[in-house]
Amino acid sequence: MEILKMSLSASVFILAIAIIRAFALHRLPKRTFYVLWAVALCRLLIPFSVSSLFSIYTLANILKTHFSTMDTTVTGMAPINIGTAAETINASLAKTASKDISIFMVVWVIGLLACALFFLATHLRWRREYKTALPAENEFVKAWQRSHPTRRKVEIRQSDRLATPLAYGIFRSVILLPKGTDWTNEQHLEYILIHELVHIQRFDTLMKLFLVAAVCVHWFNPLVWRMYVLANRDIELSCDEAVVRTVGENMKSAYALALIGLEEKRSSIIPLVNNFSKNAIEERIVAIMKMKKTSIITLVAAVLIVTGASIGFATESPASTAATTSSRSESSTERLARIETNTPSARPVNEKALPEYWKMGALNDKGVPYLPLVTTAENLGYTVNVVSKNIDNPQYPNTVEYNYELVKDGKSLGIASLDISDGKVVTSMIDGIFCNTHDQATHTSIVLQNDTIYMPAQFFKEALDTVNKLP
Amino acid sequence: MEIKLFDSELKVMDILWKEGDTTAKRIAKILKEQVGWSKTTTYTVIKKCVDKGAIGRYDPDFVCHPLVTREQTRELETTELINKMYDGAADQLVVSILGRTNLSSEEIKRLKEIVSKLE
Repeated sequence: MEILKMSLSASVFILAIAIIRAFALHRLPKRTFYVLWAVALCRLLIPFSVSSLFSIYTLANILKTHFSTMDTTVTGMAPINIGTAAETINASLAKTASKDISIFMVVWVIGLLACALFFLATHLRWRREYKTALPAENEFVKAWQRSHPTRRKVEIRQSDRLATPLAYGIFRSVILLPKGTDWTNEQHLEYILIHELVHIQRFDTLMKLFLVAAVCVHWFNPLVWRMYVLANRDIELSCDEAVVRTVGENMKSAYALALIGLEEKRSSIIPLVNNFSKNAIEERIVAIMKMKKTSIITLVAAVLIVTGASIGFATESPASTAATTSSRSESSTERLARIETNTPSARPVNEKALPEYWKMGALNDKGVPYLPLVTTAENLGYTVNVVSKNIDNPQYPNTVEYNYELVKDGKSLGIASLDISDGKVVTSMIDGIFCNTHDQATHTSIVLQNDTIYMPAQFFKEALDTVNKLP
Repeated sequence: MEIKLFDSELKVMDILWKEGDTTAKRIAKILKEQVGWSKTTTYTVIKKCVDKGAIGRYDPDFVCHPLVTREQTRELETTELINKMYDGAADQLVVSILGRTNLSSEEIKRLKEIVSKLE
């Protein structure tokens, strides 16, 4: 459920941007929000994270550790019972989780395909319509195009199927003007052309494509849909800002009037193309009229907000990154295989030969006989119930934890917990069994192979003796 | 029969009205030069015209034949214009055309002749 994690952490960032936007939209250069949305998009679409000490998650971690230590002191009275109960709950949770994950996966993929199909179908339908547009024959438009050479090829066409101007195409861009454009109002015409040209020069179509991709992948997250709406508006606001800067600040009311004129003609909502969107028109007009020359102070504020918000909300705390970088790309099976090979005590054991070795009293290179832990225990008259295996703890990405319940004569002796860690074997205990942890012998004697723990009978006996000697 | 044609469709019809029956391939070639449409785009537009009943298409080679005349289309467009802009009053349209300053004296003379002929 890496998508869920990505979605969740990006949600915090989206929320942060939305709040900044609500309070400072008209005070900051609109480019600020454009950049912030781009960072949020990276967060939603690129499956790796950047860590920084200044992340809010560091703060969250500090608070969490602080409170959990307090918890232990409060509940310290009955740690054993809680431990056992937790293990049981973990085990049952692990069972249901694996079932649910596959259902979630199927639902997610269906949602993703449905969204992608909807956007693609709508886009292709309109795209086919746009292709039938005819070259714009207006003299002013032709002259304007000659005076505005572009690096990429830009065509200007007209269509009678369109209510508002738009730009489409990433590499071979087209500015489409409605046939009903007021061709005699050259000032309006120029504003429209500059606006669409800015969209093309900034690759806004590409940005919109990524926004659609984010919505498709995170279709279950309402905040991502909110982002889709807001980011699309901010693309327009940022574009307006660039236009006003080009035509001169004293012309902003003329530009705003041109926009209102267009708004009267608009009709349907079309995704994936740069057109003027409906419910945001008021916001746009206000934004244009409130536009001021970017002062050094607002510029500094914008830079601070972008870097601050990006570092604070879009990065993770170093500890959790360490955990997630290894877990993001790996499945549980892959991780187990890695832990097994990275553990020096894991040496190849011929499994088929094992019973023979036992009978013959076969020894490892330390002179200790081997069998799977479960077999060893059974040979000694114990029953072993595997309670749980925990390999998905993001806090310990390089460790696999096995929990066993030892039963003798129908009586539970408690839970034995073995942690096999990258580079070393740590046996940690609940209920006191295997107390001689961190013994050098332990490290080299326990072998993890094919998801099975092999333990020398001698060591198993010693461990139980230690327990029995305890008061 | 009333068939409302869009600009792109009129562009295809224009070729058929000028050149008579033409293969789809040739229309695509002409329009590629004229307006820069891809073959697929032209075929899409032709298909729309066929669906609307403005073009008949015959094998072999998808020869396209116009099923409506330029006059019928003009008639329809003019009626629509009169209804939409002049409340169905044709005389208002004539007044508005005559009021345009960019009509040459020759055009005005011809218009006057038409009006007197219809009287």
